[in-house]
Amino acid sequence: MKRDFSRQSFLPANSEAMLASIKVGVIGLCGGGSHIVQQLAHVGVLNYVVLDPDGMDKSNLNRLVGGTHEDASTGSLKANISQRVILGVNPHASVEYISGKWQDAQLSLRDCTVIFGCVDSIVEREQIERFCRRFLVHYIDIGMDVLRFEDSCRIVGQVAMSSPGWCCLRCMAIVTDETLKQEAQRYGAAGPKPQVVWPNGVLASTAIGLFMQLVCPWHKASSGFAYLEYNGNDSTVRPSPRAEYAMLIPCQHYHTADIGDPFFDLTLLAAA
Amino acid sequence: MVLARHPAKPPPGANTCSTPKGTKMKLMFKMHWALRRAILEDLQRPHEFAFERVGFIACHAAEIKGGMLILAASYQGVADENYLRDKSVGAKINGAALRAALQTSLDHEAGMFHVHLHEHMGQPIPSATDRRESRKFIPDFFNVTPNLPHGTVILSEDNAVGHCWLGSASEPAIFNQIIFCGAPLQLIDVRI
Repeated sequence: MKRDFSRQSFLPANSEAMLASIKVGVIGLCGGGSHIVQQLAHVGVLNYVVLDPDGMDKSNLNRLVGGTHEDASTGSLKANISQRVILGVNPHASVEYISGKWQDAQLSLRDCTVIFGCVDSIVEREQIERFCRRFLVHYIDIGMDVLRFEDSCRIVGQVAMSSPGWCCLRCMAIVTDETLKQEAQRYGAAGPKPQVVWPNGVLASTAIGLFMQLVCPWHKASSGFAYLEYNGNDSTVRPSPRAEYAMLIPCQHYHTADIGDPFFDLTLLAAA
Repeated sequence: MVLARHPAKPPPGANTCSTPKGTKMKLMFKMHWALRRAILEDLQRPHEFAFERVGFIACHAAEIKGGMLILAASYQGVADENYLRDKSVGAKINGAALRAALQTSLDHEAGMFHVHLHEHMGQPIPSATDRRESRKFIPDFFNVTPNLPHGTVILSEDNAVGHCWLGSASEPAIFNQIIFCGAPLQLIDVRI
């Protein structure tokens, strides 16, 4: 059965071909990544590499879209669940699913056009962004947290798009030496962070909106940069005030000439 | 080195690339929009007597699954004084221009891709002259940086095509996919 995209016909005429040609990577396939994967499949993306080292457990059932009670009981690999979700929508999609660390699958990620990062740690965000800058990949990051106060909680989150030549996560102050230090000090002591399905859904949908505007722009305001903040208590998503300041200064953290694999040797590749 | 003023149809079966052992390779080329814009601005400048301008893109590379990724890093235009008078072709450059590009390749350990512009919309098609002349000088780059790919890129006003050499003696292969990253993003599946 051929897909019918008539309901997204407001997108540019070449959108279907574009979505069929690009390759998208999704790193982290639980609360955020499972939403991302599902929506990418629905909009018509056909080439994927999806990565998560873990299997599903019962604590994931509150937010892993596409995961079933049986998956949680048997410990199905999250990468397998994502593949199943994608192929359920697009049986002809090409899905490379990797149940392992993304750092061990770099060859599969280098030719991605866009990578979504749905990871918990700040240090991993920075590593993914560094990787993306080196191979001219657009990086879209999502993350949420629940801040506890004495008598209440606040749900917060962010969606950030970092593209070569634009502001990076350090420019946006999502990654700072201080946040990295705090994270290192907390390592192993905090227990599981709260994660729930509805903020992940909002953040993932917002990220997919940025992705679609990047690859199939339906309005003129197109940018390779975005930093949006989610306030789960007010149910709002707003441009971060930090974004305004970040845009004023050219990124000093990445240089456009620092690209490619410095150890690449064509003679070895050609001999393979 | 000379460049034709009018493109011609390429030979059939040109869109293939394989290693000396015959393994098929995917070739992907990526460039940032800002660099593309800078290149176009330079190439569109009129010259005192040459019909068109040419330049070189310094590139780095990386292995990808089943192929190679070529990443455009910077652009080096050809200085005005390095063009030669020849009314039979669009542009002819002298040895100094070529030596400057070879030096950049050596200094920055970069693959060098000769670039020029076909001033029209849509897929540019390399002319017979483009193909013939590039074979004369692209292999020279392997004398200074044999570990990187070298080749040619032709830009049009909204599209591009490129050829890549894997070695001085290899047949050039066409890029399967060209991506201009930025906003909006442009992806070209080359179908020549």
